[in-house]
Amino acid sequence: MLSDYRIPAEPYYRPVGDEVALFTAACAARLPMILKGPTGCGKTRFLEHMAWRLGRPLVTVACHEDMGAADLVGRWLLEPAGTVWRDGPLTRAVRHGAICYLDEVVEARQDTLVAIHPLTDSRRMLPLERTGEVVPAHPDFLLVVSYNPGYQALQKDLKESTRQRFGALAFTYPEPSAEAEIVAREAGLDEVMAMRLVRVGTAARALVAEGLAEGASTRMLVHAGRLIAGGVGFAPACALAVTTPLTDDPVLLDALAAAVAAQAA
Amino acid sequence: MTAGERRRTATLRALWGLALPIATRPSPAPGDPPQRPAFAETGVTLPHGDAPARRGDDRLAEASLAHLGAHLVHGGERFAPGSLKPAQVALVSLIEDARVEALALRERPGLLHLWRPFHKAGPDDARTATGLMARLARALLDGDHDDPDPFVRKGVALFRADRAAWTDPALSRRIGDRLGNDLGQMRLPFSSRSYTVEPAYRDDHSGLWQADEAGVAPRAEPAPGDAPAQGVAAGPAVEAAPEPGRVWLYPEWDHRIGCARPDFVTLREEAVAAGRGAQAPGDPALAAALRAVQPRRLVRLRRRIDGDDLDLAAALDAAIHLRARLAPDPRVYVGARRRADAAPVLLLVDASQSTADPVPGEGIRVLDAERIAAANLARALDAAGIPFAVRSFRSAGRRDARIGRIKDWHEPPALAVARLAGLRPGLSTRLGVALRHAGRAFPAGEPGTLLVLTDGEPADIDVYDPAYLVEDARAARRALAARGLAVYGIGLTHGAGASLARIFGRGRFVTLRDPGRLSRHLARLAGAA
Repeated sequence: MLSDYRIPAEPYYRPVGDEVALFTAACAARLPMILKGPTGCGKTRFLEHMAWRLGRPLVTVACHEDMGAADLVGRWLLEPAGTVWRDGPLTRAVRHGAICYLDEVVEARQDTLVAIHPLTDSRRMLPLERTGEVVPAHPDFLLVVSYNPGYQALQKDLKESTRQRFGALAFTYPEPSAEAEIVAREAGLDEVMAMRLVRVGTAARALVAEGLAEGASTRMLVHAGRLIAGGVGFAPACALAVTTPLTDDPVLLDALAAAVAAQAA
Repeated sequence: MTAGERRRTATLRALWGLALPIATRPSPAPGDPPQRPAFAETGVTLPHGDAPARRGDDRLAEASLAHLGAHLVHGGERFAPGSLKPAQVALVSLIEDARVEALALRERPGLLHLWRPFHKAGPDDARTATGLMARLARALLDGDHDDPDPFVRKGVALFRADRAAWTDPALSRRIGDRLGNDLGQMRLPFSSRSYTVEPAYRDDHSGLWQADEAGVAPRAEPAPGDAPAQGVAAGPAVEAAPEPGRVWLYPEWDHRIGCARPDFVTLREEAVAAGRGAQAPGDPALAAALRAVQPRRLVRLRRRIDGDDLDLAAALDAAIHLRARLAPDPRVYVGARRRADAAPVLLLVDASQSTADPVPGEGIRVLDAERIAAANLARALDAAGIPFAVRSFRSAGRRDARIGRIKDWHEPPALAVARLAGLRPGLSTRLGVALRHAGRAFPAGEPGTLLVLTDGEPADIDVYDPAYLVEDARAARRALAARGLAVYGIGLTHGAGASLARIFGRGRFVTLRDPGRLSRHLARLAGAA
């Protein structure tokens, strides 16, 4: 049923602390989890890795503002023989035992998220209002949501009643040496070049205090690293993959260019 | 702050992660002795004149910032001059410059391209003490540059002998001592008075040495960023007695007893005369941001191709068509969409005495910042076709709360700008009653948006409990929210975030210092709508 959602090979993930052990314990305790942290710092990769490690299928739902409860739970479809109920991704995960991952959960409307409440307390079941069915959660079912506290701090937030049902792991950018290891491994670069990219990333993160919306993500650095590995020069690769996408503010672009120039040998 | 100054600050932060104030000095007039940058624990000074707008025209400042940052990050304690001769002080400083630059280049190799063009001294220069020092500085930085002079070669050899020792500032002291002795034995005169550090991007070394007896006289500089406080315009302390007219009585929430005191506050409306004020620069992005904070209604859309639920009527029709072997209409769902209406907006402007204070860190008064923000909002609301009204509020105790009618719904928007200019700061901030009265201005049962511009803390002359008016304003806000009005706070301050959060609720207020950037802040409120 969910075999397409299984992760066949180990996704690369470099632990930065004891998050693997903590997540495993939370999973054993069937505690729903929040993964919070800035964009591109490895939340999704971590979860893919954990799904592989725990041998569970991973059903990912990218949340957005127009997502209704039906997009999670399921809906009636009209077919020649009449109406047919189709489970949504959440119901499928609940019924058959998977990790259901709501990515960027605060993008979803709060009335939509209320649907997950019965799943996240001792009831562990999903009432399907439209069919009258109550789906008890499979023992392997686990709910994980992610969000980025930085950029929506004021804009959107989780309801308290939602938030307090979860355990949480806070992610951040890895330490420079660990991040260099990740960039080197993901982009196929040597550690020295990866470290120079990481220093550009560190400079960009420092500029958050000067008005940058968010610092450069590890993902961006990996993108730049792949370009470099493909033969692009250091400065053009950083401009294409890191500095130009980050901001439109000419002042910050200048400061970023200075930081890139300081790393370009 | 100009774009150039912002770029310099951001560059220091990007290169070194340092957040230090940067003071700018004009470049010296022709004929005056050249000036060098300086650094201290409290900030850095650049004597290169005003920051140009383009980064390419500001290479000297960028090189200086890279060098000063290297000192601040890789430098040690200030050196004690002790009995060092002036030439030794200069050489210790020079080696220290080379040492921090060498450490900087380990992690930031690209800085070499930034610094190297400023090093111009070469073997053809005169064999004076300062000439040799400039040549030594160049040879120490640039490994590819070869200077045949034995003194320069000795300095380079000593410096490069033990790269592991570069992390130790004592190395500068050791090598500088020895080279200073050599210079003395070469009978090359050196005067610290006429000496200017070369090249021009390097600092004057005052940040390297302990004060007082230092060979290099540290300058007594006011700490940058310590600008004298702007003169606070004294508002009229005593206000004219309120004009007679209709009064309203409002309850007030007392958080200590947990209930409202009925008919506790007396409120009057007052007229505001138009004044003349400077035109504020407009904010073109504001109209879009305002549309985004408009309340949205859930609208059910029938006969949709997709949606959350089956539209029963459409589904039956489709089923009948299927049975009749006709092509069914596939639009059998209902969807819900949130649709923004042009709901009216009321701006409530704080006109209390505290708004005569300058915005922290900015050169303008809170009231002027409010005026700019309100005038920009008025223009944007007009452009967006959203009906709006403007009120000001102030108070002198519970028996005398006042609301200024700056613009009514039907009045032309231009009037709002002129009357805002005529607003004078005075009296106190009793926000709760102002909110209650402002809520009355909206048609009953209709959605609307109330934007409150304030300097933060509610206060009044007859209230001593700082939490009292905050809690009352919170209760008033909640009552307005319950009847469908969206209330947002715009705090022109940075200190009062806690009370604003208490009053308006998390995500329903912003604090800003620069009213020109209101649109960006307002956009962040949009999601809470």
